[in-house]
Parts: sequence; C-alpha cells; structure tokens
Amino acid sequence: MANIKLPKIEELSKIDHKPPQNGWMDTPAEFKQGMYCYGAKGKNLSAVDFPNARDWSPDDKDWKLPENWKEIVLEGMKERLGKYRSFHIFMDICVRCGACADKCHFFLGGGDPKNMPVLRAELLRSIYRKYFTASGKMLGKVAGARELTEDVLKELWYYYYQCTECRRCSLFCPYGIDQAEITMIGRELLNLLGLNTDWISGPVANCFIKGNHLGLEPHAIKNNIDFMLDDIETITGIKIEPTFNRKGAEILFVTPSGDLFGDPGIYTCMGYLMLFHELGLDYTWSTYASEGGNFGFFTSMEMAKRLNSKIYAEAKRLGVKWILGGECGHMWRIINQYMDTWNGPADFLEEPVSPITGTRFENAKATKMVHIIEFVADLIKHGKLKFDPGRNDQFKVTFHDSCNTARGMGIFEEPRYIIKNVCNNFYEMPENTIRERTFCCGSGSGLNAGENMELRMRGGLPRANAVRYVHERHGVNLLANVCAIDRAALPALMDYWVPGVKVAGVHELLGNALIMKGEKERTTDLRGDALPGKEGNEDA
Amino acid sequence: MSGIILLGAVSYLLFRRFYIPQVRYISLTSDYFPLFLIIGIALSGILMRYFIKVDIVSAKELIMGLLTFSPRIPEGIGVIFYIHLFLVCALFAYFPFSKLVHMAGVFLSPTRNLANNSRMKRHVNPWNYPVKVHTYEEYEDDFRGKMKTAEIPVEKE
Repeated sequence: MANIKLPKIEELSKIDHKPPQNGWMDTPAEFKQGMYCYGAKGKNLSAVDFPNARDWSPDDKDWKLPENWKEIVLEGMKERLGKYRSFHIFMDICVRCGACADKCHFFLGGGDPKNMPVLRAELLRSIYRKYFTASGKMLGKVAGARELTEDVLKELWYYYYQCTECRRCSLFCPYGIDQAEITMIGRELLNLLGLNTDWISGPVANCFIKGNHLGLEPHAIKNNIDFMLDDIETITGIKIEPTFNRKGAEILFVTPSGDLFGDPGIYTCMGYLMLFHELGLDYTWSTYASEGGNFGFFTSMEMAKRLNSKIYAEAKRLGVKWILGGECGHMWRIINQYMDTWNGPADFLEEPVSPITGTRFENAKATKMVHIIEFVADLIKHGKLKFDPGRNDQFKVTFHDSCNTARGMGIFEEPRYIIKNVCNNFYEMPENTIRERTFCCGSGSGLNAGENMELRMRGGLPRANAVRYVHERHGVNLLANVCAIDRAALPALMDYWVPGVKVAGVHELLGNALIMKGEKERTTDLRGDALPGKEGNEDA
Repeated sequence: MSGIILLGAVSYLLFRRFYIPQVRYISLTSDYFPLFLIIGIALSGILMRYFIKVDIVSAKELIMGLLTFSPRIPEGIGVIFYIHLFLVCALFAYFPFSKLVHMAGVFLSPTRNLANNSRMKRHVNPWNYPVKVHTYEEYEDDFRGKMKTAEIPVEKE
C-alpha cells in the first residue's frame, strides 16, 4: 500500500452527491485507497493490553478476528446500551429527516452517502434493530434491520474511521443526536476485536509508557525546549529557564506534545515560554504528564481514562495548586467533559486563581484546570501585558474555531479577543463556517495520518473553501487556531487547496507581539522571518 | 379547511422524501408508513365532509356510546366513516411505538437536556471503575538514568 497517490485538485473537486440506485444495505463498502489508515500493529495493541493483538491490514481478506467475534460485538453493544443513555437514545430516536446530511464535511467533500451522519449512524442502528428490538427481529429489512456479518463489520470500520467526531451534525439535528457519541461507541466495539489503526494505536502505546504521543523521552522533551529557548534568546536577547518536574510549583502546565515537536507547533510553545517568563509565573513542566491530548479517546473510554489519569496524579505528586492547559482540541473535550468524573475529585488542588490578576476561575471549580486562552484573555482585560501588534503586520489573520473548544466548550470570544489585541489585521470567515458552526479540519479524532491523505483533503474542503474566500477577498495569509491537531493537519490542507496561507497557534502571534522587559529590538518573528520594515537587518 | 391544510402538509413531507435524493436514499418503511396513514385519514375525512356525506347524528351516537362504555351501532352511517375510524384507530395504536413520538425525543436527548457545566460541577458516575495505569514510579524506573543526566529531579536516587 506504499505510495498512495493523492489525486490532482481538478479530480478531487469533482464531487457527486447523488446516491447510487441500489439501496445502501445492498451496497457493500468499497475500500478506496487514500481513504483509510493502516491497521494497528500487534506490539502497540499488546503494550496497552488490548484484545486480539496481532499485525493485520485492512487490505487483507482475513482480518484475523477471534472465533466468537460476533458474540463479542453484540455483548459489547448490550453492555454499552445499558451504560450510556446517550447511545441508547441515539439508537432509537432518529426520524431520518436528513437535516444532518449536508452538514458533514466528509459528505460535502466526498459525496459518499454513507458519510451522511444519518447513514453513518444507521450502519450501527441497523444492527441494533436486528438484535435488540422486537420490530427488527420480526420484520428484518423492512424495519431497517440487518444481520451482523463480516462485510458489515468491515463497513463499520471503514466509515467509523471516516468521522472526526466534530459534532457539527449534532448542532443541526432537531434532536441533537450526537454522531460523535455514536462513533465513539462504534470504535469501542471495533477495539474489542483489535480493529484499530496504526496512527491511533502507536501514539496510545507511546503515551501510556513514555507519557506522550510522540514518544519523547524525558531528556528529549528538555532538549526540544532548550532548542526553543536558544531561538528565543537569539530573537529577543532574553534567556529563559523553565523548570521540569519541580515540586512545590504553584501551577502545573500541560500541553499537547505536538507543541514540543515540529513546525508550526513549536512556535506556539515558544509563545507560552515567553509569556510565562514575562509574567514570572511559578509553574513547572512535567515529563511524566507531558501530553494533554489523548488518542486513547479514539479507542475506548477506558483507555482514555488510563492516559488522562497522569495529569491529576502528577499534579498531586508535585503538590501544585492548580493546572493550566495549553492550546488543544480533544484534550479539552476530555478535560471539559470527562476528567473530573473519571479521575477526580481533584480535592488535593485549589480552586484556580490567577496569581497576576486575582481572578477566580469559577468555571473550572471542579476540574481545577484552566484553559490558557481564558487565562490570557483575563490578563489582557486587566492590562497586564504590553503588545506591539505591528510585529504581526506581515500577517492577515483569520481564526479557525476548533470543534472541541468551540462546539464542545463554547470558547468563541477569548481567542478572537487575544488575536485582536496582538494583530492589526483580522478577518472573519463566513458566519456559517465559524464559532459553533465551524467546519472541522478534516483530520481530527486520530485521522491525521499520511496514508489517508485523500480523505483528509476531502474532509477539509469546506474549511479550505471558507479560508479561500477570505484569502481572495482580504488577502488573508495566516490561519490561526488553538489546537495541536489543527497545527499538524491544516498546513497540508492549505498547501493543497489554498497555497500561500500559513498556519499558526494563537500564542505564536502573542509571542511575536509581546513586549518583554529587557528585550532587544527584534528584527525577526518567532519563525525567523524578517519583521516588516526590518528586511535586510538580519544578522543571519 | 383544516383537512386541506393537513393533506397539503403531509403531501409536502412525502414529496420531499421522494424528491430529495439523499433523503430518499436513507428512508425506511417506517418513514413512509405514517405519512400514508395520515394521508388516508385526511382523504377519507375530506371525502366524508364534502362528497360522500354521512349521517352525523348516528355517527355521534356511536362515538358517545364508545365514550360512555355502552357501545351501540346505529344503522346507516356509511362505509367511509368506518374506514376513517379504522385509520384513526390504527394511528392511535401505532403512535406510541413509532417515530411519531419524536416530540418526546427532543426533551429526552442528553445533548439537549444536560447542562454543559462539568468543569464547574462534579458529576459522579456510578459505574466508574479503577483502571490499570502507568504510574510515575514505573515511569521513573524506566527513565531514571536519562532523567538524572538531563538534570530532571527524581524521587529515588
């Protein structure tokens, strides 16, 4: 399956949204290269004690399923119907009105009818009807029920790893049926059979043993940050000395490991480092809890809980007062929705209070974990930071709301408030593509691999179209966001659909504009590019 | 008038199910059945009111008989009335087991009736169970040498 070619832009732009003549139950899933990920490796599955650990490939006819696979799936379904009211209700109440159909980025960009949220849910619902409802048992296909066969299982795998759990469909559903919840359960069922992808199971194993998805060992984390510190010193003349695993610090800082490695995440991380130094914040990094993101969430709730437990455990060990979290998407879905319930109560921590402004973060009273965007917006509101927004004048900026922080948590205004304070040129994308109606990057929920690039480009098309609109109209050349997956996924999307638009975290822009005590006159931005009016001044 | 509006509204819903290709593709028997049932009720009702008149006095006698649990079957009401009554009864019987209870779903849906306050307020999960984790001690045992070289503090020397 090596060298899967990404089709040319002209080819990918031809999208047929018309469903085929044959009914969907009679149309088996056709596995299209570029639309799915490699299968999980046995060693990664066994590292976290997942069942049926073995090397396998979705291209093979034999998926090496256990003998009693059907029983396992149905048992698993029964258990989850009992546990999750959401799942049970969402299996029952859909009326197939079609309101969600044209809201999914994968359907809009691909046209496969099974990517309509309603039909993606029906793939699982049809099995629910067959084995758990009277009408389905008696009437079969007439009642929309079908037998669970190996082909059906493969279809589930194919389409449940073509959903980014972004929840846009849920917003438009009159019932609020949340396809993300259904996808999560669907993936849990598949994981009972060891049917995961390489791109998800690798990071999960890394995160469990080494503390982060990228598998950075403690000294590597420190080294990476040291590199950033050198760059900051070159740019600003200021030497920063952060601490690691320090007991007695006031605040533990946790961010996705994507910020510690690779462009453009590291520039966002430099922004954090500069901000904390300027504030004189009493904080520490941790190499044990060195991952905010949680790919376990894309396998099962249990695995997500196992990975998430490290954050509170480390906060307790180090004796900090509260936790500050970096820019990330699904990390915040977990902190917002699950962390306290899974691994709380965090009664060894205090209700977060900003040491600079004295603001109590009552919204985080239970979890004791504050989003850096909230923390910084509060600082700016109290006039605690000085900026030179002119140092971002090379950028015309627009903001991409990440699904999890926007739809999941309602963080809409804080990032915009910060951007408007640190940049002079800010333009919004069209209303129906931002805030709670934001379009997904197309690569969330563990789909940001390389082998499924066609899927990612198709899924990202609606977002890219909105960017192209402001790119052509206002000359926007920078797509800001507050999510590490966005920073990893959007550059490829922009290069493909809207060349000339770069991607940056909000704290990179903040780092550019932040006036630090004792800094030298800056000639470049954090990327090392000359500042406007300073071209030709570079010493490098 | 109400019959015409009902018929118009239901026909629109049916038309949309046929006409929009994506919606047609996802439709099941249980999506068409209630529409046809309601169309049948509206049609028989309109027929009864304007075209094939029935004896309204006898019809009332029958209904009152049913309501007072002393059923009588008066002569000469007309077949169309019984067709209409049968369809209405079928609708009542079908209603609670079908998608027609969808109004309730709007209020039962957890994404609609739960507050998004889980950072502020602790919610306890009754079946939350302990899971196997990778503890800090295990982590430090794996990396102690490397941590010490990198001058990262450790618990055990």
